[in-house]
Amino acid sequence: MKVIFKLLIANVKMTVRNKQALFWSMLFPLLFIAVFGLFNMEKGGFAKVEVLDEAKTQLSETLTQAIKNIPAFNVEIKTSTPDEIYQDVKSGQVEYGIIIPKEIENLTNPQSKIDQPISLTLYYDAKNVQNNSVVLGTLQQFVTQANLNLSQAPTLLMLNAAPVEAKKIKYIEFIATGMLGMSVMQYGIIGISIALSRQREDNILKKLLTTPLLLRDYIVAFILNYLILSVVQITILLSASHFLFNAQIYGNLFLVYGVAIFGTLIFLCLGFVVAGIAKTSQAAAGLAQLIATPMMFLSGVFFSTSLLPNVAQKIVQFLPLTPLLEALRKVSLDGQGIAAIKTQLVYLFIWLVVAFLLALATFRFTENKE
Amino acid sequence: MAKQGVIKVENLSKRFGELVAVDSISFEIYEREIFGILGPNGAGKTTALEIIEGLQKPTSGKTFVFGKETHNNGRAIKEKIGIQLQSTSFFDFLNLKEILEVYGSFYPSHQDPMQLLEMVGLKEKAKTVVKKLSGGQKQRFAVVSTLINNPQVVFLDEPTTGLDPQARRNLWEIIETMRQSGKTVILTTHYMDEAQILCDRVAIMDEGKIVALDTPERLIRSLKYPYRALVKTNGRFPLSEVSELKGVVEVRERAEEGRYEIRLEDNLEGLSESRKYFAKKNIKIKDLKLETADLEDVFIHFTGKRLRD
Repeated sequence: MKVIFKLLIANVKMTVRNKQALFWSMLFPLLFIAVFGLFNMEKGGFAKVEVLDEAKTQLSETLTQAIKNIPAFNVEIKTSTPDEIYQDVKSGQVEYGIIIPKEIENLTNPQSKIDQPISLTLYYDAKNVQNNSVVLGTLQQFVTQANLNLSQAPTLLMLNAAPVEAKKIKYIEFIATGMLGMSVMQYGIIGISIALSRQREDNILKKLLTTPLLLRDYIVAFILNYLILSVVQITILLSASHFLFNAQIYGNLFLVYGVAIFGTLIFLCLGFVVAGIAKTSQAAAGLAQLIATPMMFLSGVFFSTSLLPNVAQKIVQFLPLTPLLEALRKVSLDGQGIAAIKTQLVYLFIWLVVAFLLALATFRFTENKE
Repeated sequence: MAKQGVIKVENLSKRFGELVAVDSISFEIYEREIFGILGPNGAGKTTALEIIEGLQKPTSGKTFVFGKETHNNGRAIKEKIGIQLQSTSFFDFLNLKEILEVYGSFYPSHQDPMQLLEMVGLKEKAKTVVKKLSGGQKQRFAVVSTLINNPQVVFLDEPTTGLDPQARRNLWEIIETMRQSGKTVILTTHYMDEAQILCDRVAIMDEGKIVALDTPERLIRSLKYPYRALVKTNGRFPLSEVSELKGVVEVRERAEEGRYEIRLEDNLEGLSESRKYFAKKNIKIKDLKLETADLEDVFIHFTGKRLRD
């Protein structure tokens, strides 16, 4: 025990003093989060809208305000001409241009006679199919409602839209859990395999074999150091995304840690496997990247795996990072408990056993030719 | 008092596929001696050493340390020996003192790291990382790190390879100190001067076999022709004429112009005969040096090739 403790202290010292490695393991995922946090996908809705109010009456201002209140719109009130609005849409500066005509004042003027409907003009980019249906629908509904109100027709049928407190998962929250899984994976596969193969290359492990030290003790200390670092890494990531970008964790925080550490153990074993297979530390770095990079893109770090083609989805669910991310998101984003992630935990457990056995079979302490 | 055997090697062989690295060698090493294994690169020195240390398994044969079979008693033996590998780096980001403390923790008891560092003149470097040491300092540290458990037997694999003469002499002193403090030292080297100066006994190894084993003096004396004259002349002469003189064994022209090496029988008659020959031919001897043969000659004698090639 004393030996393990001494080795652990030495390992922690070495890790903390290795500024460069520390930077890559701790700050790199943070940079990712910062970048995605600054993009801030939700800011001001998804459609840029210009409104030109030519009437400037009480009614037109109410109308403008109502448009402004539509959540999906990022509205700017313009004082230009209809033609300029048209040009803004045409050039792609804004996605929608709404012109409230001067004639709208006739609606509230009892003297004026309205023989044909006054038209609100909406310029939009016909290619923008996905958003158009939403925007056109919203405006259409708005106009219908306005018609009914203005004609003072009795409301006979109304939609009782009962909001169900639907929690809106922010993209930063999705990304933060993705980063958590990604950094656990990268630090394991890449960090561990390079560190170990370098120690073997430099005969540091062989030198240990010349002493009565039990290699089991060395490995235990090595893994403990790694787990401590992993907890620090998880904490930094979670606090940064929470305090800087207000990403929430809806589930049990300890369960999030538990699942992340479970994943850590798998990737740690895979790191031993890579170090075992690769002859040099350079080869280890290459092989580790080769394993980690496709997983990063396929297992749903940046986007949900449900966006992948069906066949691909079936395949990627067998990668270790996929169930790890699923479990992390179910707990962290959906606020679910351990019962809801049983399937993922089973997948992860199988991976742990497989990775552990592979590590036992492949890892070598020396470069002996045998 | 009978010599106490510390290490015993019996018919040790090691094969890597087709390659026979060690070919049925046997020898014994006694307490408090400095034992050298001398041979060119690839002779099988390191492999033999690592099998005795328990780092590699023999293909056949047995090795004993303190009378115990190496491969059944690995840990017990490792507590009492110190091993310097041919090339080791130490942990990055730990200073010398910290590294020695970590290694010390592997043993039931250990020496004071600062005392060890002082012994090899590295006390001021206690807080330095290995990366910042010079080649000689690094090697001194590697050697002294084997003493952390106050071992009875120290294995040094090419401790001075790649060092400048000053640093080598420095290490020889350290190794000499080890013997004085009662340790047995086994070292490998391909420097014959090192073996000659340091070692009580030398095993000459070539192509996996031990071709000779004795004290350096006796190995040299066993040569039929233990002397050679190095002469510098102002003119050339047919080598065959001199080599036929009485008492002369062989004449070789050296790389430098006008310098010759004349091997002599031990009665030195060949020297006076050569001088007479040069006088007769009106060749002036500008320089003459008489040398005794060294381990290099022993090596050539036993293997038919030069050590440095």
